[in-house]
Amino acid sequence: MARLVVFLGTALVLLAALATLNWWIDPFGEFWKPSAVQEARAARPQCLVSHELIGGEYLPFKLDVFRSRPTRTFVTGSSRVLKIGSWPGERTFANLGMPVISPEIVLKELRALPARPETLYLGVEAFWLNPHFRGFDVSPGLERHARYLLSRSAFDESVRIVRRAPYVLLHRWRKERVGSSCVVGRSRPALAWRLDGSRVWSFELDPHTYHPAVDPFTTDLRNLRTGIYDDWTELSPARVRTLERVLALAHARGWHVVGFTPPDGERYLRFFAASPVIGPRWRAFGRLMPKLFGRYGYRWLDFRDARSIPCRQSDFVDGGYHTDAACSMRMRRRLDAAARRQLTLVALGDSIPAARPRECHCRAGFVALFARALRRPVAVRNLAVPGANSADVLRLLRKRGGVHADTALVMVGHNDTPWLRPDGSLRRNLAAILDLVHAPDVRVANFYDDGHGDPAVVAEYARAICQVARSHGARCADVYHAFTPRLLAADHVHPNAEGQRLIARLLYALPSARRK
Amino acid sequence: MLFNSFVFLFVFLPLVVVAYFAIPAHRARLVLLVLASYVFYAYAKWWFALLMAASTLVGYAGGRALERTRRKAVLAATVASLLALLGAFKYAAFVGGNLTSFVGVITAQGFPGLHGFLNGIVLPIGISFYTFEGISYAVDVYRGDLEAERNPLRYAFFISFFPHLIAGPIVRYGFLRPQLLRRHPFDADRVRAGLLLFALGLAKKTVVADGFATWVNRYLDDPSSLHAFEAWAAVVGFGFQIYFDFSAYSDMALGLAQIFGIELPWNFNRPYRASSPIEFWRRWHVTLSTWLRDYLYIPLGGNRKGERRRDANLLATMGLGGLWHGASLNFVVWGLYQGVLLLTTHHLRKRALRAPPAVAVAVTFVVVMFGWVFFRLHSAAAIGHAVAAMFLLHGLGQFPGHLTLLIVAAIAYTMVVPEEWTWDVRSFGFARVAAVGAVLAVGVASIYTSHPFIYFRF
Repeated sequence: MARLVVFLGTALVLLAALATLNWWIDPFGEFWKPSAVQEARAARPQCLVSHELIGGEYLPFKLDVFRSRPTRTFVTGSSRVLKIGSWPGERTFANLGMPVISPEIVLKELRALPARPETLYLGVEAFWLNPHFRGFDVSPGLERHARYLLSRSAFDESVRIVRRAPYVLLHRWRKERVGSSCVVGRSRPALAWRLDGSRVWSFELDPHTYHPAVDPFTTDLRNLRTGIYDDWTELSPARVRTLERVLALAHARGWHVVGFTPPDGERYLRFFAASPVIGPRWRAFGRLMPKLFGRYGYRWLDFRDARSIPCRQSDFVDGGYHTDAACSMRMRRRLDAAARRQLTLVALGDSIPAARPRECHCRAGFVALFARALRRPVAVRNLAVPGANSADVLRLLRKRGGVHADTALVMVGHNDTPWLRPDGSLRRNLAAILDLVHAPDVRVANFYDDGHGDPAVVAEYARAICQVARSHGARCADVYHAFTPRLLAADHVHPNAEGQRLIARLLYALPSARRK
Repeated sequence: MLFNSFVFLFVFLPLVVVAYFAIPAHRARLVLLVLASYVFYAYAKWWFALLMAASTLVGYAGGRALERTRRKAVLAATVASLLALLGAFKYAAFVGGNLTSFVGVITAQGFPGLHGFLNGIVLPIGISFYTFEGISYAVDVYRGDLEAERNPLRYAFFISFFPHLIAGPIVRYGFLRPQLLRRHPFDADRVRAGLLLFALGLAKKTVVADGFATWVNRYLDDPSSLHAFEAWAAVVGFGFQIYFDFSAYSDMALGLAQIFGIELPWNFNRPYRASSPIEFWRRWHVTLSTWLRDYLYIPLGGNRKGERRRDANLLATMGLGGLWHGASLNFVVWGLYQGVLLLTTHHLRKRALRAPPAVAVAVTFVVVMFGWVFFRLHSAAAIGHAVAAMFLLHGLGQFPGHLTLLIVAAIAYTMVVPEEWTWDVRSFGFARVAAVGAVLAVGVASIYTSHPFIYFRF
């Protein structure tokens, strides 16, 4: 028995020692180290964080970047978007891109973000739609951690690091000067991260270090680097669905989204044009993306040809895959301009703004007509629910924690029967609704007399709606006085197509109001 | 579940061992091990367990029926049912794929749907092993060498016992049954001996075999770039890789079974010391070669019907043995090559042509190693490239120093040190026990970069 204990004890003690060393040194960055990022953030001026300390923990790092800044605009995508950074002095931008990211990881990342108003620049890669492409595993399980801690290769690397920088046995990292930059790391920052999440190449820190351009461009174009285009015979329907879920999530949260695909060098473009297998998929991807983004009212910028940005072949640091900082910031400028041109529009109310074709006998209700009239890219979220009264709309908003948009259209009250209590719930509910609508431009429409109620009560209601709207800084369209019975649909309740057009015209004619 | 996985080492095995010795009743222990074995097997895919249960049911029912009526038809039905499962999952894609390709060439019509279906068939790991065990049981009962097992629990244990489930050794029921009738109380010495053998096997796999794999794969993944030195080193390296890999698995299986008080038959005995191909097969994967001898070669007539018939039987047996390894023509070629080596040896012996022992060992080593080309490389083009390189058609090339060093070390070790399962680990003192504990730690630490066992896919 004693020898059994010695046998197992020896093995366990050695494995425990191995695990402790690997955990402390963490040579491949398998464990998230928030205090290293905190140290870089606390330094004045702020330091960069060496990639040695981030390793594979991209997701917690990027979420930390997002949360630690008053982020209003962020970009996500593959390693090819990582050079898109903040403008000088800008604190509201974050780069949440990650190497070897996939749509599934993007979805996971976006779900982890708070639902406050944002502008998202989504860099979509063509190879994401290759069913054989696999993204980085951002959720290592317990077994992977155990395997890592007890791994000989991690031990070998830990020993190498200890030899190179013996201080790591006491301090896992320290502030170091690399070139003219301060880097929190441990002696060898092959890459570093700015605190806005953008990436810095080692040659940018110190020109004497490795630059990919010194190597001849020998990438096998048939395999295109890491095989990300291998066996690409169809646009993966599952990946397209995931991208749709990403866009639906952004849409539900009222975000501005501008989609783009990072540029490719000339050699790649020639290859894509000529490849009988990849070429057709690459072109299909180019056709699909504008449609997919357009479905949600979002813009799509096709940067696949670098000249459209404009960038030159020499702007690629590695012969055609990753762009340098200057080209990436030119992309940023194009994205900013596209985002400025794009609006979000939210509609609240009942079946009239919902405008089901069988009720109005129309193709588009007043919400869609209004959006069309703006003649700008608009992401429309029509949250109107047929049959809803003002209390229902209020409940919906409370459940969502309010809504954010550039413009909000509100038409509610038709279902607030009985109407014989004009000073009752409608005023209170509408006021509460408007308090929960966070938009610089809120437009409310009162409702028309469909002949089913007491005309005096309806008139009072219409007046009350506009009073509440104005008292909350919103504009009110007086549908009540402009509407005539011939604008009613066959059901004598809903407006017909012409009625919907009238409401749209009245709302559009209102001067926009800046509030909140 | 793999022996070289963390979930096996740190969850499954400790739980099963502790539970086994915590349960006093022998029958309950058997139930525990059968259930644990099904969990072990179903860990990869849940329906694997159903397949094994079906094979167990067929074997058990077939055995009972054979005991009542020793009719050939019953035996044929039992064996055919067992082989049907194997055929459906292992050989359907091979046969169907070749047939559709052939018909496609003749008729210029493709069958993409059928190809897709056939290629989608998943091979349940270990199915070849437990199918052969079931067949040997049915044949033994039919021959009257064995009484049919009435207790389904014991039969289920025989088929499913997890140490030998995935990659053998191929156990015969007559060997196992007496051990199942005995209770195995906790014996610290026996448990320690089992763990020591398991530890040695684990390190042999994760350190030695995978050390070879790293170099061998580097060369053999692209045979078209090989030159003579590299080709020979890579092929000999693969010979050692597969030996250390498979014998490591066998050591681990023997060690694990020993923990529970079960002795399994040994599988390897330093095969590269063999002085003839015949001796090689008495030292290499012994439970398979004796199975092929007893249930295929001898029923075909063995050497009782003249030389020509013997040669044909040898070729048929070894060809089918090759096919057992995998549904691919290269394995058949490898089996036939081994068959040719065997019958050549018989003919040389008949002519009393014998070389000095050292020369015989060297020649056997070279011809056996050459045969691994057909085992490791799957396409005719790849085999052609490698063989051409080995016969100097691509020039000498660079000398692969690292791999050669490994090979020299492996030759020295296997020629001098006896097979690990023969070591008297029970007599190890504290120092040697601690040393094996350190070896276990190194083995565990090497799991991160470990490759799957080669014989898992058979």
